[in-house]
Amino acid sequence: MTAKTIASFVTGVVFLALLLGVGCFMAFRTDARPVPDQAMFIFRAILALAAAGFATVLLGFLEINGSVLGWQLRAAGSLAVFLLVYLINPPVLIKNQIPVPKKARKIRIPPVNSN
Amino acid sequence: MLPVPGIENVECAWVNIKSQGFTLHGFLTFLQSDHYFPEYLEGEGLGDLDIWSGHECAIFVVQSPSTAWIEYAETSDHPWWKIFGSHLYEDSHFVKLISDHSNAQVLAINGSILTFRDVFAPRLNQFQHNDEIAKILRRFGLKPTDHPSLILFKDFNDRSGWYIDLKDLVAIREQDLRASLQKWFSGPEFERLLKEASRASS
Repeated sequence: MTAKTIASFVTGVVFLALLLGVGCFMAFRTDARPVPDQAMFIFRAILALAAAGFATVLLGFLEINGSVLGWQLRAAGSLAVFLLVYLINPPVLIKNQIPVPKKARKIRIPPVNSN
Repeated sequence: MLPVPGIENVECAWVNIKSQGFTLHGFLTFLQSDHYFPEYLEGEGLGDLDIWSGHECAIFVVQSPSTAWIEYAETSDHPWWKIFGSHLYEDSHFVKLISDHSNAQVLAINGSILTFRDVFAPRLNQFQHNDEIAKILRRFGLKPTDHPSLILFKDFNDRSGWYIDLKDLVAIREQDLRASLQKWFSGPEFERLLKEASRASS
């Protein structure tokens, strides 16, 4: 294992651990305000880089071909992992699922003088 | 959408409200802590919901109407103006005066300068109390925790109605709240309730 691979792996693990901490904090925090989109973008970019670093020690070979914003791209190895994590974007998928009001429930209204 | 000070005002004005011929009536209930309902309603929500609920449905909200709303209601001959506004704000010149000069400094008390809006705010702004929401929930036999919600009924004296739980919409962003409510009002559920209420009245 080369020094470059070790450095990539260690950096990846450190950032993944940090993001795990941030993820846990956001999941269990009591503040009801939604996480800003800018913050989600930063987390996603760092997560993609960390995943790519971690992937340097994973066995196997990954190659992807595709197009993004009209650009043809072909990537393999760590770069492929980075692109997969960055482009496949669960937060957006979740964000698009706007909660809807629950189904109307029939209620019995008590007589006015019962209050 | 009809902003009201409280449920008693709806009760008192029920004959007038009924004469407007709405098929369905309702209360939108939320506490000040049910973010972002108060923020949305104080902003564009009143106008949005007024359009989305349509001519067949009157939804009351415990809210102080802004001068812009009063002006809009008066000029468009909105049902709110016919039922509540024309009695509360008989002098349209007074409304225009407040609207045009709401930030004009008119009074100084104990060193603090009050604007037109501050002076007349008690009459216009002290409506939205959580107590009023509690009264509404109690009146419809709901738990004090059943907010935010939409309570729909055909007639104020009916013994049955519909309760729509809006708790899932708390703490979502204002634009998502808007999109969610828009989706509901344009969706099959609202249409079904309107039809059901219409069938009941025929």
